[in-house]
Amino acid sequence: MVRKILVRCFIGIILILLYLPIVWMIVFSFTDTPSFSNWNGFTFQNYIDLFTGQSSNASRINEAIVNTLFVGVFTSLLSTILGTLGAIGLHAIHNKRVKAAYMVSNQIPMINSEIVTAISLALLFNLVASTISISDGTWLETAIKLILAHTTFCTPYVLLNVLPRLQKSDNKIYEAALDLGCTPAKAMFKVVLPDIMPGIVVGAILAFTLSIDDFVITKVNVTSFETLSTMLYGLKSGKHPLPADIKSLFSIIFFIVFAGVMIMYRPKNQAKSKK
Amino acid sequence: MRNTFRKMLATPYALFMALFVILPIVLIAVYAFIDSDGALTLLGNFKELAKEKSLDNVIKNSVIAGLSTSAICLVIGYPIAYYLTKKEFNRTGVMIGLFLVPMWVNFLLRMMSTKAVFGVLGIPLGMGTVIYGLCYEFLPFMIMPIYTTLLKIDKMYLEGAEDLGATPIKAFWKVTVPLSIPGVISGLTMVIIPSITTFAVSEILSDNKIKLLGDFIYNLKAYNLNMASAISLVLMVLLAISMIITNKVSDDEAGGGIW
Amino acid sequence: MEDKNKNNKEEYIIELNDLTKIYDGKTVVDHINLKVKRGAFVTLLGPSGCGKTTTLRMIAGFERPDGGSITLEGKDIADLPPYKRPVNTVFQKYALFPHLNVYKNIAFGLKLKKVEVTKKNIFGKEVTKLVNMAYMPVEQKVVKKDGSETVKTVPFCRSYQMMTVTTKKGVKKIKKVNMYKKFIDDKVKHALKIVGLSDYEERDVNSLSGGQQQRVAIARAIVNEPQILLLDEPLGALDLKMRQEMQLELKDMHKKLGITFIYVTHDQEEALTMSDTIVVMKDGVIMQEGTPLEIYNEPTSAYVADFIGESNILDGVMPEDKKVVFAGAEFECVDTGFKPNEEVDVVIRPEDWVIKREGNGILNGEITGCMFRGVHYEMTCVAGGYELILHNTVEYKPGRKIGLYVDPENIQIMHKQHVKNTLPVKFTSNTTFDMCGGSYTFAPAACFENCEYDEENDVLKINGEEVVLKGKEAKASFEFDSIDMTDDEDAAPLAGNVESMIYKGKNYLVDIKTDDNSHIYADTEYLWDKYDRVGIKIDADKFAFSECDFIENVPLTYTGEQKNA
Repeated sequence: MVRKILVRCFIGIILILLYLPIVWMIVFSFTDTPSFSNWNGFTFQNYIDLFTGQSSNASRINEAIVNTLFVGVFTSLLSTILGTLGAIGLHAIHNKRVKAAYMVSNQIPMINSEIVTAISLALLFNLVASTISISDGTWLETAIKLILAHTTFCTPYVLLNVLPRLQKSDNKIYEAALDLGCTPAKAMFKVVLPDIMPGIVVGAILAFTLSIDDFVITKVNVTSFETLSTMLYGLKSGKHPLPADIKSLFSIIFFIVFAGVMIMYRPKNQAKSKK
Repeated sequence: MRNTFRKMLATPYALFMALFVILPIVLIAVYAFIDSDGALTLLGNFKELAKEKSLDNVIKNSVIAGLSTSAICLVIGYPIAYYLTKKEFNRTGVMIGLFLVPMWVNFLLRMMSTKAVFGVLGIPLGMGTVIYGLCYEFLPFMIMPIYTTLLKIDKMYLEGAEDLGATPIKAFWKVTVPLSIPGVISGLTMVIIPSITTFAVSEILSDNKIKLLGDFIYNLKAYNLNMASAISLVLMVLLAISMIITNKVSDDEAGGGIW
Repeated sequence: MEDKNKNNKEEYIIELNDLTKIYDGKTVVDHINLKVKRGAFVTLLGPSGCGKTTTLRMIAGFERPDGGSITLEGKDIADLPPYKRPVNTVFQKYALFPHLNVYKNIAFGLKLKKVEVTKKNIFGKEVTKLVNMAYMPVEQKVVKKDGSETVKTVPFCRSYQMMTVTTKKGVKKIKKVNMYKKFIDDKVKHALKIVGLSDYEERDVNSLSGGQQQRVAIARAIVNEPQILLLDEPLGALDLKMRQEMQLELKDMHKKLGITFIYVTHDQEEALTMSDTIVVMKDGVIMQEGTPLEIYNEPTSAYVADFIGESNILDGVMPEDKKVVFAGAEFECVDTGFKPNEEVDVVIRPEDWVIKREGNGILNGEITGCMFRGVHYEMTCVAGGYELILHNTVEYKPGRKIGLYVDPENIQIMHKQHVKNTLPVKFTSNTTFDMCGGSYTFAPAACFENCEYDEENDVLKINGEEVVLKGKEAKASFEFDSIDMTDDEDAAPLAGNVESMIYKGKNYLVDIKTDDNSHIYADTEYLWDKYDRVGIKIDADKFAFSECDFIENVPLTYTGEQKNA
């Protein structure tokens, strides 16, 4: 009994520590102050300003949101296509060495330090820029550069989400479709893709969140292109690094993330198998 | 024959990975051994690095921060992962979800809020706060692999141990802990290297007083890509060695990953 | 009295009294009483879900009983945790620790073994404590430098002796040997020898075959010298050849070790081969307990007869003692004590039929099918409208007309467990009632005696008096053959899962378990599968009601038969 209480206290304290800064920020997003202390009375004004575009950082925030979403959506799309195709192909390969080579190269961006991946991509972009001589590109060129960089570290996660689905599903269904007269391409679209769709969807969502959360690779590779992460980094040295509108913006993002994660881990019907 | 179509599907993926993963790594290896003018120099960049006075301090700080972060994460994360697999907390996925949410909140935001909270509470910034921040960032990465490994351990092993006379505590130490080692190793690899090479956390939580390897490489990149490549190469070699060792210790299948 | 108790204790090692286990409101083990003789090989036999494994797990200590007691050597152990019980289990999936090699798996229990030690505490008082055997004080001869010998008390794990040891190269050497390590070593090696796996000590358990893992699991359990060895379907994962070999070896081990085995299986052949006593279970209840021969030759219920071996189970009637009518013929038998004209179940084993020339038997029939089964031919035969299975070493071709005879001793007669379905109902109107969670319509005029029903005005008169049925409770009876089973559960008022089927020569008697755990029995000519979901339809005029205390001046029970009469 005492043990039970101690365990609960321990878990509770760690949870409180994990959420304290976030909750503190959310609380102070409801008052008119850039700081984390002086409570100035409850107000929704920060949120209203945020949505009407009247807040102090309005244009900066808008630009960052547009940039982040643009890169996030296209990264998600590109890495989902590449990762899914890669997974299907990899699943069909039975040569152990080839398979191992694929898996190792897939692991590299996942286990390598982010900063090393960032440097390596910077070298690549430098090389490309010097050979076709473009220095600092247009908005679109920068965005494409960033999408490619993000796709590099997102694709492996998509592949790893799709591959188990393929392994779980019966290889025979593809062969059955061929047997019943499908061309390989048709069999792929009519039978295999629907079967692995849940893995693809999770992979796409994962790629999107990884992209919008990324800081290190973005910061190292692009300069005049602000995402939400790099915007935060740019604010860090001010006296009050988290102004009111930033607080309310990230409070909203937090609630979306919270709802999303909770839906993913929602109470499952745990079928009890007992004899 | 029938497989060729499916094998072909991997081509775009293979090309992309070759271009954006393998080639850049080759570039690192090349840049590490040439100077900024493009001339071949075998150890020039490494000698330059050794001359950097600040590097000693950076390495010392990184080792201290990395080791204490992973130790703290293990000590806190293991019991949490263990109790989350218990029926009391595991009835729904909500508890494990609660521990994962912070992982999806922008870490800069969390670090900046933490700094602000420390400011309000009057806690001075320094090594302690940096380690706190690193633990904050990496605790979920320790909990998840241990949690998945523990969840996979069949209850029958514990019943077997108790049947043979082990008290629940003995059964925990003699069966649960050894069987969860792959998860612990996988957790440690997900915490040690990233916490050493992370960038911006120490900058925010120590007011730029303490620099870790990540910050060092980032600053280096601005003026000397060759030196940055050299140190990246060293890091990759260290990582590869540690991966080979851990792969030998834990067999692949039992390992618990995050995803 | 005391003497008798003592005797009792000598004879029975473990007793289960009214043992009950309930999961989520469902009674899995229902007031079981069982006494197991010392040194016996007892098998709990039954289909999955019958409660046999739960019973075993309660004996092992993994499940806490919700009622009743488990008495081991006269002591109630129901509340002891598993690690304090002198029993060991061989698990279904072996549960060998994957991180330990064969030797360490087997030594696991030994290293945890505790012994009672009497010690003087700091106050000089003698106290008895349980300590790990490694720390048990033993006397140790010590030779001092000057050659004199003294005796010292040391923990077991630090005692040693000088012994002659043969090294791997075959050289004999005198070495200092740790006695605790040697003690464990000897026991592990002995256990490995018993299971036939000497020289496997250093092997990784994952590299062993199923049969070898099975042997390690047994060695790991018996090395602790348990008073009872529990085996939970230990051969379930092995293939046929290996299983048969292990059956013999287990039987052999049981003889050699002399300890009590409690064995759980769903395989009747395994049970018949190995056990001294078989306990047949169904739905958490013991159906029959006896030696393999008793269970096979004298089943006490159609269920047991059907579960053990092949059999013909037929509906019959006993007009008088030692006479039974079934399949349209009267047979002589040896059973007595039945009510005149009692409906009974008759069991005849396929090999007990004596095939004669047509007209020379009691029953005439025609062979409809014949299959060679290795030692014998299995033939189907239609006689008196019933389909019978016969085993014979002589082949009779389909179409051949034969006569059938059975030795009176080979006719096994049993009371019927159920003659009709009788279930509590609650009326919801004058023409509907709820039963087991389903709503049925009935025709009052056909189901009640002396009953008039005015449909237009919804007036029901029984014995001339008006009765409003809504809200009243009673019991409804209906015959097995009044049920219409359908695989479209939405088309029927009530649905359930098929629990078991018994072929009765003409039709199947199906046991359907409804969602509220009631059993409904139905006759059907179609073969359903176990766990099939079926809808239960019953015609409106097939019910009879009893225990209708709302009707005055009528006997409390009256049945369909009376009504027909």
